Amino acid sequence: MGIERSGFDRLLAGEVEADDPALGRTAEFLGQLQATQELPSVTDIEQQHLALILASARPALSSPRAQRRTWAARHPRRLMVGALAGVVLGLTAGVSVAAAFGVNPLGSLISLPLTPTGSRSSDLSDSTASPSASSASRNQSDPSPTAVPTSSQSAKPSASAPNAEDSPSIKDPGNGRSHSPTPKAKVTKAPGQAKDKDKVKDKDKASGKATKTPKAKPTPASTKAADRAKD
Amino acid sequence: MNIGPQFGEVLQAARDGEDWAWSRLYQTLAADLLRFLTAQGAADPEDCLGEAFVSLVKGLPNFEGDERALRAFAFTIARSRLVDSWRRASCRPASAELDSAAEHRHQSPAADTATLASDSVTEILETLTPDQRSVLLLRVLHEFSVKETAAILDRSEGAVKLLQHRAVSALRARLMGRSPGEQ
Repeated sequence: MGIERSGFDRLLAGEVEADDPALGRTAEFLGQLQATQELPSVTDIEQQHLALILASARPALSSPRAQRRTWAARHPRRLMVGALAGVVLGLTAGVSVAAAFGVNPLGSLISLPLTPTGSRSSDLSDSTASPSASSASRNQSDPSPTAVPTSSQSAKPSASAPNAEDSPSIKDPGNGRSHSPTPKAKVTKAPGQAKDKDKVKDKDKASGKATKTPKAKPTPASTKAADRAKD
Repeated sequence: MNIGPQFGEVLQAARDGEDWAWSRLYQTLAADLLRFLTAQGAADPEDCLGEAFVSLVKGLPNFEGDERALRAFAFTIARSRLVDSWRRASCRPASAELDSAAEHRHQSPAADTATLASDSVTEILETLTPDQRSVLLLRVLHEFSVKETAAILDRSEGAVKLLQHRAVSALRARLMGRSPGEQ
């Protein structure tokens, strides 16, 4: 390059060789540039700009995010030590909890269920998407909790799926509440269903044949209770 | 105008939103920035200056360095706002904008010889490309180093040296074509 940095600095200082008149004129021009370009006055716009600056400075500096950022910028070592201590404490707490339950923490970590929960959620969404469809499928597969009492079913009366289908939030969309197809609806809180179960148990106790007699025939009372539960 | 040894205190107070600190920073930086924006052909240099200071407010919590570094940081922001104003105008600065900038710069009464000289300087500066003009102004008027100029213009130091060399070569060619009395 023809003009190096030192050459440019010499040019700025006006120290040029006498045998190069063009560079002398350039140096003269640069000196003239420094002399003629005066600093403009900013007094007439200072107050307006300061008001703008302070208006934008106050919210920017008072926000908690900015305060956290400034604190983190001022204390990077503290931030790093705190993060490390947090990680160590978390790991220690996890290991101690696992040890208290008598579980090998590494083994439990490895045996974590990593399968996607999509199948379960799809089942739930299917069951909660349309109450009529779910009730139809229930009629096909499991007519009612009291309809076919087997020995195993009397011990465990009905699965949780029918209860989920009979929950008020799903079956009663016109009650003013939102009809939300959430998995929370599977909780066995249907009063009519609970009453049915109690009645069955009471009958079982009264007859003294808890498991082997098919006493859960659809009686008029039980069918009324089932209808009430459906409604 | 320099802040000097009180710079750290002023910077911290500005971070805390103190009025006096921002006033001090404004008085230190605003005139230089306005001259740079005007010479670069900003459509509205005063608006650009205000936007540059608002951006400086937002960037100040992340800034670290001395007074010279803050000055370079402010010029970097001003240059960004300048590019934004060029984009808003959808064109690079033209000669007419530089003429109006020159008129704005010399609203204060001055001697006729000085006005003529500055007009001549402005006319010669117009022959340079915007990048060459930026490098020349930052290096000559604002006395930034090559490294600082490269940071302000977001270019490499080699590119800045090349622009500087081309600017001086263009000036030489221009000045050799003129008679000495025209300067």
